[in-house]
Amino acid sequence: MMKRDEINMSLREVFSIVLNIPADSIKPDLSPDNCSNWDSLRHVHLVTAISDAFRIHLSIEQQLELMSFQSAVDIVAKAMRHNG
Amino acid sequence: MSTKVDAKMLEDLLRDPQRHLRARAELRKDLDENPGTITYLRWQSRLPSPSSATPIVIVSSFTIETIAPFLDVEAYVSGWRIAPTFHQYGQWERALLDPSLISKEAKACILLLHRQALVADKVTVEQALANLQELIGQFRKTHVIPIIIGLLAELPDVDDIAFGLNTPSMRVDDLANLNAGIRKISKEIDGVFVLDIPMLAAYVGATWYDRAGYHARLSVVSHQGLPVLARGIARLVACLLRPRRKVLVMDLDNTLWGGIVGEDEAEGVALGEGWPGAAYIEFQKTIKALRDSGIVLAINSKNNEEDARAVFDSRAEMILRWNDFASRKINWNNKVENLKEIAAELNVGLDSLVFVDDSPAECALVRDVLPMIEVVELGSDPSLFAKNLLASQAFDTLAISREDKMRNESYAVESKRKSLQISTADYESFLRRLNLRLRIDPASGGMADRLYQLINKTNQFNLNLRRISFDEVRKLIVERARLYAISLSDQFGDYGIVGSVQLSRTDENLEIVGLAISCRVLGRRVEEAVLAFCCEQARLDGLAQLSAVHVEGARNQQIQDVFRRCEFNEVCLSDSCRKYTMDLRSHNVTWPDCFIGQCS
Repeated sequence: MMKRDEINMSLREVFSIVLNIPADSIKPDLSPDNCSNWDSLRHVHLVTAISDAFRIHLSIEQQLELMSFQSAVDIVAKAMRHNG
Repeated sequence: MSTKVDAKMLEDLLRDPQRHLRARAELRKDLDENPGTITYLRWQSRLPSPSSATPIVIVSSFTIETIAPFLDVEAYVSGWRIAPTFHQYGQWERALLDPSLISKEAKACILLLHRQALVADKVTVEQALANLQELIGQFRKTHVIPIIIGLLAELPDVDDIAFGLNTPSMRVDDLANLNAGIRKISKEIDGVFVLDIPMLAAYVGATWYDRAGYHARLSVVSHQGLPVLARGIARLVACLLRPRRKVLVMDLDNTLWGGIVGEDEAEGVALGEGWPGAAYIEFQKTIKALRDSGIVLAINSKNNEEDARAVFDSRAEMILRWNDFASRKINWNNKVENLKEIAAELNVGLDSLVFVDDSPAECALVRDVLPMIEVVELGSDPSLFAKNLLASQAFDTLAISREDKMRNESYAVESKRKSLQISTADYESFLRRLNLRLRIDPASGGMADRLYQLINKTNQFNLNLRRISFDEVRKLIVERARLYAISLSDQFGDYGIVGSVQLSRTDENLEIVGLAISCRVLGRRVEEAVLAFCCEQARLDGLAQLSAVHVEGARNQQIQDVFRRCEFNEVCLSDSCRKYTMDLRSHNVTWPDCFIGQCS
């Protein structure tokens, strides 16, 4: 099972590609409020890229909760625990 | 074909404008291997910034804007750059009705609909189709741009049986009837094309439809479906922006047949029933179909010519005949040199060629030395040859014109003309004995395909090398601009439409703003006849001067010779730009006497 650190690393890469920002600029509180590239369209791409990368399904509720980098780590960790 | 794409190499290729064909092929490979959102977004940010992008309007009854990055990448793979504008869900009908909503700059309108937007509570399929026809008809009154309608791609489901599959007007029937109706509309309204989305959806099957997304944000197509839909749109629109390549140059051993004729002999190569012979026959059928659609065939093979010929002569299973190939280079020369000779012999540019070979080494050599040639590496599985060749998109076209179908026949007829020429004492009497008939007609709707092809493919006898999109050709025709089609026939056959000329009038002067004549008829004095026609037109308009500006390119210098021969006055505007004028009060171009008929 994937450790939280590994999830953090992989998510950083996904966020960096989808939002087109440097990976080392990503802080836990990264959100649509402080990242202009994170608009509603990119949000949809973020959800699908995360689903693909971790082979998980995110419910509509989880998609709506995913509003910061930190929340993404939590949601993925939880979804992977369920899968595992 | 299964070699992994080297990301670093692809990044380098994307930065090199000379290698864009290679970059596109490698990118296609990577997208096919990893079709996920992340791959598209990664490459989207690495695409070269476009020098110009084509504005396209996407009108959709559902949410579709998330397709943008997929469209960006797929359009690049198809050889063009996209600048999309979206009109979604509630706005789709208004977008078609209100002319101010769709920019005049747009080159095409893509219309994507879903069943629930058309067929509602009290709206039947028939009413829905009548409404749609009315909307598109209204749009057509204000816009000439091509409309591409997607067929509805809601996949039938095994669980549909719960509603009684044999009950009339259930979902499956409605979909079939709606799609048949949309096809009918595309035939009835000018410039409407169909995008077969169900065929695209079949690529990803059950994952096409985004059930939760539909309820949450009215998005019908899932993230697995978006890249496939983007690919379909990019490929179809590419046909509106660039003409197909003209010539397919083939290797022989392990390409047209299995094995090596020099070693296995004609009787030993694999052709016909069973594996792998049947796969090679199937591939030959595809090549034959391409030939019938106007693609000229050529051979480029390392072999002794008599060995290769023996397969054509002695193997009855062969679908392709020796004479199906307009040029044959079967020798031990470098394939690059052979390709140059083939292009020269067929009188086409190297960028009109597609080269296919099973050998990665030969393919790499040609890609390196002649990057303007589209190279298709067939791989080692002959059952995938046809798919690999067609997936290159080099031969994609919206429609096959009459001239396309006649092209190969005309290469054969050309040899009869040559023998008449040899048996005739001088060129003038040869021309007279040909019984040439020339027609110059105002361009009409059915000619748009062919004129678009001519204007964009003609490199030699082309006044200014100005290229225009299919949409612009249609616009000229609809607006009755003075665009004319030049047709030629002789005692051996019909050449079809061989040229186009476009005129524009100012106060004192008639200007030739476009002139392109196919290289197949150069030397038949068509050039002079067209200038004579232009003089006549100027006189009919009561004008005293005819003019034209020649912009010199790599291969169109013969334009100068014709203007000089007809005694136009020449003024140098710049190194590559000359203005020709004729004072019609003192000068004239007369019809060459080799033509029997002349009319417009």
